[in-house]
Amino acid sequence: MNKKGENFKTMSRKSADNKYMHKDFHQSLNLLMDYIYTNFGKENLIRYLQQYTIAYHQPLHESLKEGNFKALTSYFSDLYEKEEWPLTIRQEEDYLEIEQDECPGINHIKSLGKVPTTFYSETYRTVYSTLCDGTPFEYTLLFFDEETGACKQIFTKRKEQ
Amino acid sequence: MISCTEFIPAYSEGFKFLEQLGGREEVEKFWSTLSDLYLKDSLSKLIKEKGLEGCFEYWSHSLNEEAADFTMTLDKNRNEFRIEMHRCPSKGKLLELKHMTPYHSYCDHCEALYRPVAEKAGFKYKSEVDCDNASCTHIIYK
Repeated sequence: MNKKGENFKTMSRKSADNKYMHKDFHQSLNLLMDYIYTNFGKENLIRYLQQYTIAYHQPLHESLKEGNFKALTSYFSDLYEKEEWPLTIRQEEDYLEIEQDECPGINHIKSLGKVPTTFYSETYRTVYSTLCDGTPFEYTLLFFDEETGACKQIFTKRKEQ
Repeated sequence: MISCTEFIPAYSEGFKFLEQLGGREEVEKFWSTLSDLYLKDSLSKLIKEKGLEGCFEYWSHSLNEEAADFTMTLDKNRNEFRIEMHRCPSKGKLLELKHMTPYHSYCDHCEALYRPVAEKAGFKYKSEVDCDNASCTHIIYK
């Protein structure tokens, strides 16, 4: 910070000066989801998350459609590295298991003294189920602890019909 | 999980979704709610307690965490706090995502969030926004 006397101060930064990680965005998303749920119900909250997934995850969805299962592992590794959050990944051919002791979003929302919205777990269930729709893979949220966000998620190859 | 690093696309799609449900009015209603709830314990509190110094404190935190490209000045002699956003990290990120179309009035949310807080604390607010280039100026003053 540059100071030019008591009555004037200035701060200049370039994008590269800082790491992009504004954890309060977890609370912003929480408020957005809560607003949709409170005013328009669960069905519309699910529709919103589906719409977001189709728009944002389109490149990852295309990779999965082409059978590129490793793209998922890369996505999760990169995401949690950026979020600076521990994650256990077990991968075999056509099987990906992701386990966490706590959700970074729920952790941060609670650290602010706020309450995660009802159906916060849909940021997992709906988002990753939608991601897998129309691909050779399917998603299962094996368990989700609403208090902490501890969970186990599995992606597997769909069984032939 | 939607990571905090993925929030901006989720925010933009949220505005689109709300507009589909209830038009621009619904989006503005949400922004007003967000301004009240999200800024209540942060900017709103700081500006009431510390005036323009509180603005400097609030944005010192958020703009650094958002890795923004900015110049921020506080001139107490002129009773003015100013942000020159050379490259907005939010709109900049949306423009980089070539497979997504940002909400058509994405940049409007900043004024919708911050003007009410500034005015409630007895300040004036003005902004100039160049959405296509993800740059803007925000001034809070007496």
